[in-house]
Amino acid sequence: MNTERKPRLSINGAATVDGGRYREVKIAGQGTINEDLDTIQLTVNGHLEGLGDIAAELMTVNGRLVTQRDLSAKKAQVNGLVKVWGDLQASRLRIHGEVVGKQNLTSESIHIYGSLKLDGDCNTDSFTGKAQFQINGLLNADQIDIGLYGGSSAKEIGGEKIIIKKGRKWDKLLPWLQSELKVECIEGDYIELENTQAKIVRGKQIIIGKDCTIDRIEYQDSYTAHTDSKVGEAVKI
Amino acid sequence: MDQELISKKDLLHEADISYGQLYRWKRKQLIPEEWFIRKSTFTGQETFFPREKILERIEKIKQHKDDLSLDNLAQLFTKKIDEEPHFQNISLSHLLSNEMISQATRDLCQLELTNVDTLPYSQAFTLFVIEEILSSGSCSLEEAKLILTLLRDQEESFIQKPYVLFVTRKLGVATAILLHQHDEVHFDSASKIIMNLSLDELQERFKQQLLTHGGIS
Repeated sequence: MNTERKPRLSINGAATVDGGRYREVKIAGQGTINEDLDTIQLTVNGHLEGLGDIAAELMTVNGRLVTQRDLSAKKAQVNGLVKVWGDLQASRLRIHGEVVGKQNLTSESIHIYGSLKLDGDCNTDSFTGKAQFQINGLLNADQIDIGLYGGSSAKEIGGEKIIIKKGRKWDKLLPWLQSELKVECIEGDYIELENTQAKIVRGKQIIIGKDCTIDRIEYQDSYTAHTDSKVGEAVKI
Repeated sequence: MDQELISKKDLLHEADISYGQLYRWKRKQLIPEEWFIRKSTFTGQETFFPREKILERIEKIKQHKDDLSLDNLAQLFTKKIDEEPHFQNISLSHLLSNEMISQATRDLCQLELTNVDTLPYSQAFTLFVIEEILSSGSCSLEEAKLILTLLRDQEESFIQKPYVLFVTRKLGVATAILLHQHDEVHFDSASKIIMNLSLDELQERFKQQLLTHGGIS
């Protein structure tokens, strides 16, 4: 494990390599890495396919990165597409394109200007941005502040402060864009929602904005609802 | 065995915590996934927890959360000792200099210790147990040796399972018994229980001290 890092791996054109430990890895054409790769810097401008685990401290993907196993990075910037069949771990993740994960995503800070699709759970301290997301498991974050652009869904959302609003920017440009969040259950201390369909929302302070359909609300301290929204029942616990 | 359950709502109320805290602790793996039990109720899906376990765990989290980080707390509760670098290759001289283990304990265990300074977790914990026993003052050196041999034999299993150590004395002869935490035990009236030590609790204290002193080599 403690072998020396090789200084640089660079693929320009098409190549298949074994993997290993590097300081810097740059893919400009099409690369395939057969085994585990561990590098300080990883830059993908073309297409990289990983067959083993990939670990990087600083990762930038401007093209496509597809990996069959786990991907971990301290800081990751995705401007293109990243698809991970294993677990995805990125302490700081910025998505300006699309991230698709087949398992869980673990992070500290996720900022999205694009889309996130996840088959597992998403665990992070903060989850912010203007986004379309589809999380088949639990979205668990201290701070959630999302402007919805496009149909989104999650099985459950839990955290401290949860703010979901409709993205306003493209209202006039793309009036047909359905920006709606579908979720079974939302639980948090402070919850503010717009354009959300939920079976149950539980929290201390709940503010229901425009265009929500909520079957049941359980609140501790306060609750208000916009007249445009439908709320089945609201119970003070 | 059917254990008593508590709903998430009641838990938040009873333990006086917020959704944010509960989700944060879940995320940091301070509360194991298998304690979240889903059940359908007339208002839809609800989450329940094993009552006693979760209340005890939350009490501990609250107690430690000011002096340990959440990540350290997770290490404190983990049963996966092998995966934690903090708990591997514990330095004997470090334990001595931090007064986690006294000279007397070292001397007692010296017989079986080789000249190496680093100890695996289980051995280091055994020393810690002996230290606790000697410093309690209720066992003699001979009795401590007896306990040491018992612990040594079971070293691999008792770090994974919640054991209780009983020491009884009858007509001046001591017996040491290692027992599963939730089992009942009865002694005859002539036996006097001189020690009843929860190894699980002791282990938590041991880990906490390792984390605060950085008892790694």
